[in-house]
Amino acid sequence: MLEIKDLHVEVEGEPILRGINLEVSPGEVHAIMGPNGSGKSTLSYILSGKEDYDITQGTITYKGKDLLDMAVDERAAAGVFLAFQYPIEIPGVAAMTFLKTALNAQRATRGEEELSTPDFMKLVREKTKELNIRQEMLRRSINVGFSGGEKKRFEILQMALLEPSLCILDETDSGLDIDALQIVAEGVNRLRDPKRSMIVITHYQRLLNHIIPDKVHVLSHGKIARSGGKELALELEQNGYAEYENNTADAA
Amino acid sequence: MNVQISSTLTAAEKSLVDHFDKISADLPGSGQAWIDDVRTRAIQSFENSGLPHRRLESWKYTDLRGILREMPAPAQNSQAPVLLEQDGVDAHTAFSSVDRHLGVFVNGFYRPELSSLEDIEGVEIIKLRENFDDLPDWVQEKLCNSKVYENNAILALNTAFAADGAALRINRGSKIDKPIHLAFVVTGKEACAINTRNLIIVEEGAEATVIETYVGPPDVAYVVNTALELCVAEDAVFNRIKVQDEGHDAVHLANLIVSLAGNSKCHDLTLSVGARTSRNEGQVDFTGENVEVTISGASMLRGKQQGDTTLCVTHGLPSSNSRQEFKTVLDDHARGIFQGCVIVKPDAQHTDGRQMTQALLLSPDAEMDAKPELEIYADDVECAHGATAGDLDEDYLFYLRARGIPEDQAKALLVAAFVAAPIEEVQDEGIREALFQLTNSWFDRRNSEA
Ligand SMILES: Nc1ncnc2c1ncn2[C@@H]1O[C@H](COP(=O)(O)OP(=O)(O)O)[C@@H](O)[C@H]1O
Ligand SMILES: [Mg+2]
Repeated sequence: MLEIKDLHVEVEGEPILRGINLEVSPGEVHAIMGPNGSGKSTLSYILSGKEDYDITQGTITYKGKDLLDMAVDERAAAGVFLAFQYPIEIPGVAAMTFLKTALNAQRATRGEEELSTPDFMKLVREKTKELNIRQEMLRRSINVGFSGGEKKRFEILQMALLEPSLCILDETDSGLDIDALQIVAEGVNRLRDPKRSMIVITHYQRLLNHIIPDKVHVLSHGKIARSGGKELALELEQNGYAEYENNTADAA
Repeated sequence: MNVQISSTLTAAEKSLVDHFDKISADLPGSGQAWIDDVRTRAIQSFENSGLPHRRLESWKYTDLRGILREMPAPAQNSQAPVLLEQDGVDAHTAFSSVDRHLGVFVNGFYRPELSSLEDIEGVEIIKLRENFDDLPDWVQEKLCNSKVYENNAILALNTAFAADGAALRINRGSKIDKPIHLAFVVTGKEACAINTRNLIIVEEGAEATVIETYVGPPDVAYVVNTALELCVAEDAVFNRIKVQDEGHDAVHLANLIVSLAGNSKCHDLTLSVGARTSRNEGQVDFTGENVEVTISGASMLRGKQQGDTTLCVTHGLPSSNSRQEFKTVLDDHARGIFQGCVIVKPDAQHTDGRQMTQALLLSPDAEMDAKPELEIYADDVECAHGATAGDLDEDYLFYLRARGIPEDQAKALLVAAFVAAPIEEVQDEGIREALFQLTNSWFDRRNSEA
């Protein structure tokens, strides 16, 4: 599904990622944990194609293709989805219009027919119900006037509608109370599929009680400092990131 | 009529005076002393001033004297058949699905066979040309008022040349069932000058919505000069929607003169997407208290288009609210101009005057000149103004593209979103949809029109 090899990324000459290696197979769920500022969001942006970063070294292969060669919208149409850590507000673009445009744009890119309005509405009703989202919310502009939890649930709604092959969730748990966390985790678990991979980025272990990962990686100073099974998350919960934060040897 | 031609006039100015000499005898009502007098004084006033030029403060950015090198002859009243429904979306077709009363003017002349303005309950409609020999007092009185074109050469020209137009009186207490759409259509391959004069009187407690649309051929250098005098009486509610979608070689000059009585409400929105050069000038005055007025607009310009909005709202009496809200989208080498003024006179305590102009620049060669002004002479007032200009937000674009929306489609969505706010405030859903149809398709239309 995804293979990252020796990925180095800089911003304005400042190295942020310093040689990431990661392989995610179809159906796997990988958790990436790590202290603030270790480069988790940067990695997610690089995967989804955000500009303003210099990729100085390394390759990313997605479904056998060079991911770095693809435009942002091409990646999305090919099944890459990033649930943003901080979903932005876009005044004037109605959430519903946005969902329909995105879904039909992806279908068009894949050579599929447009979804009719009744079929689309039916699909939206079904998914919003599962995620406990009020239909009324979708008449508003994207994320405008949404609470923190609503923003995160709206990200998951987009993911559920677009049915990507590679889901990247960047701190989707942050700012959620326990009930909202439950709803979001259920939404994510419903999407678990032998053909779909997930990268779950989180600072805390608690999300991983709900979304059980196959592998856990610790990102520190732009490198994967350790990898292990789901028990690694529990260990981090107990010991904290002190060990990784103080590890300045790599930073030199 | 003999008019002295002064030697300092430009070629275009001279031809305007010449044209007047040639056609004034054919103008409707010619031979009646009062209108001959009104027109002669107007052309003389124009002759003294000439076309507005950049040394005049309010024409600093639109040097009309430099822009209008040649002046085409006034349009003839040909009754040739016209095809109103064009291919693609334009301001005329966008409203065709709105349930409305329709009055069509072709090259400035009313065309009854294309119109459906007869017998609208609660409205008197006078077509100026048809009725000039027997104009009611309420129309004549307004046409005689030379005060409105003092210091306004464009309005003076309009007064001298106007060959037709509509005068509407919404009767006291009447709530008009459907919007009234005045459609100004230019046809033909010959450049011509079109002057129309309109008048709307909304009597006490009446309510009405009027749509004005302007369309024309893409590559004919015609010149439209249109004026609307609007008087809204006590407790009346009036909405106006104007869409300027002239051909891209045209010049569109418009004047709006508004007078609002106590407790009236007036909402005005202008969408400007057409013309090579356009100027929408407006002046709003109050004759009573507790008025609520919004003058708003969206301009979407590309290529070498230039669009100028110049507004002055004068609060002379207490306790009224005025809002000016303008959005401008500029691509290629387009240039947008907003000059908005709010004057609060010493007696106008408890005025709430707001003004906002925002521009979105899609190209490094586009230019926005915004000059918001507040002149406040009363102490207990709330006034605010602001002006912003910026590029398309890269983060917005990234968010949309990250969901698989191709770049151009994402830009089209964001451009339409940028101008959405003033359109959202239009009450009539059908009209709102027609406006959105125009703004939503603007970005995609760029290749066919640029
Ligand atoms: N666009 C940027 N410009 C400058 N510095 C950046 C930018 N993006 C990230 N960084 C820096 O890179 C480091 C990693 O940031 P980030 O990827 O957001 O970490 P995390 O998500 O793990 O908290 C931080 O030191 C941050 O300040
Ligand atoms: Mg982060």
